Amino acid sequence: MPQRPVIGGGLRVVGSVHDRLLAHDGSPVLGRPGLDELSELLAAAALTGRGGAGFPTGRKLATVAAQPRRPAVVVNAVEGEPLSRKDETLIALAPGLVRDGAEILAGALGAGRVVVAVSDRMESAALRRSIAAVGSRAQVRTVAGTFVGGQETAVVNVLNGRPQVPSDPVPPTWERGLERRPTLVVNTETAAQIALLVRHGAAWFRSVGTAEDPGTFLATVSGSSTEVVADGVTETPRGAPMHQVLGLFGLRTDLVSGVLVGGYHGAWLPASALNTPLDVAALAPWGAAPGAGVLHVLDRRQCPIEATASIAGYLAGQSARQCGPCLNGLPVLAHTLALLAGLPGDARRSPTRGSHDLVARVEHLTRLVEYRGACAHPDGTVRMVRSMLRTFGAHLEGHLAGTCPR
Amino acid sequence: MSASRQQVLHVDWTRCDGHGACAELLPTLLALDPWGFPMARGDHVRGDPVVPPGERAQARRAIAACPLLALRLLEVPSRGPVQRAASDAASR
Repeated sequence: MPQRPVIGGGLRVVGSVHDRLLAHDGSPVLGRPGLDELSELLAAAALTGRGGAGFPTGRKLATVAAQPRRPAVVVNAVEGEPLSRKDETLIALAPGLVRDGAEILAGALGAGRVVVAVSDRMESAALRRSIAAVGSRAQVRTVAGTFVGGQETAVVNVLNGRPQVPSDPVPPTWERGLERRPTLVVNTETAAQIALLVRHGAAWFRSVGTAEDPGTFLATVSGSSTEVVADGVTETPRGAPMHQVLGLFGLRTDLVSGVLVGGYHGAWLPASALNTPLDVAALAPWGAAPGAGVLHVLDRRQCPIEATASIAGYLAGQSARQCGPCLNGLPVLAHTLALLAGLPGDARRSPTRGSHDLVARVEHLTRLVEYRGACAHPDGTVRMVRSMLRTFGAHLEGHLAGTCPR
Repeated sequence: MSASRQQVLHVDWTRCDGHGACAELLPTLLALDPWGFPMARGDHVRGDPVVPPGERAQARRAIAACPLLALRLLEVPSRGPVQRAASDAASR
């Protein structure tokens, strides 16, 4: 295994036998399939987006290709999720794959423009050099690496010279996006996976992962303490057991109370679920998905309700302040969670019945904000909060009885 | 409109300021949340209330009455969500 560089912020990249993206030798992918050929490849590989939503990439491509106007391609490397470092890693270690993925998509679509939008929090010099080295027409644009600034519509807005905030999803970006062109927006890793798929073919792509959810993905691992797990990025097949991936970073299983899968918009899994395979089907019963590959381990010495309240507080502060239910609802939701986290102190003064009312209040607030914003921010926050209520139900009972059982 | 389509009253939340005219004109479809923003009472597709054929004329009145131009009728499949920008559905 070659030596792995440590990229910005001391991030450790752990190599493995599964490396594809991270083992890339830097040589350009020369294939430029036409639209039909690329569509067949994407369908045969069953490639899904690696940015979070996990939408089938072939279907996105087909939707954009069916529009009457000449399209544009945007590679989204904004990575606004603070727990995710994998796009930054790819831009630093395999910029040629990102570039070639963008070129392949632009070529198949006959795109009028192709832009890679990178966050101002990442080092993009390697990407710029790699684009210049082959005379690629892809443009690199540096934009703010804010949480909701990475939402698809926010990225398109800032590239169009407007404020970098999400807008109403009607009309969708695939109909009217960059320069009002039909626009295909793909995540950095999705673009890189496409480049490798074109080089090696669908059978190779499917030779790892599960039948329904094939291929590899980049995981970003972090912990709520430095003892429970180390921070870093690695590449792993879909379907790999969670503990195996976390084990590469020195996981202390005795210290784990849960894992937040999918980042701040993801879902909590309990320590008893550490062997869950990291694929769409296995994570679905937990209300989770591989998403952008974020795995955040909670140290059992920290209160999961407090952790959830703290994340909800952060997310409330990240609202673009455009949509009333999100702007008004998320701070109240975060505040109510903080009251719930502080219950052992308060319970001595207030009757337990009031505590149960707080849980009901949290549930009510999640219903008030869900679906009621232009972007995924309220829905993602609700997903994370509800998963806490399910996964840490026993812990919650402790709070309601007057003690935090951490 | 084929049998597999339905109409919803789509709210552009980036425009809506909680004026409340829509909920006044469409009391069977919309209530107001604690902050004064419209909220579907019954069937909805990702938050947008389903507009039964008998309410369409009144829905058009509500659209015209919105001072922020935040409302419009959308035709969507009877089952399944309004298509959001695909990568907006989860992370970030």
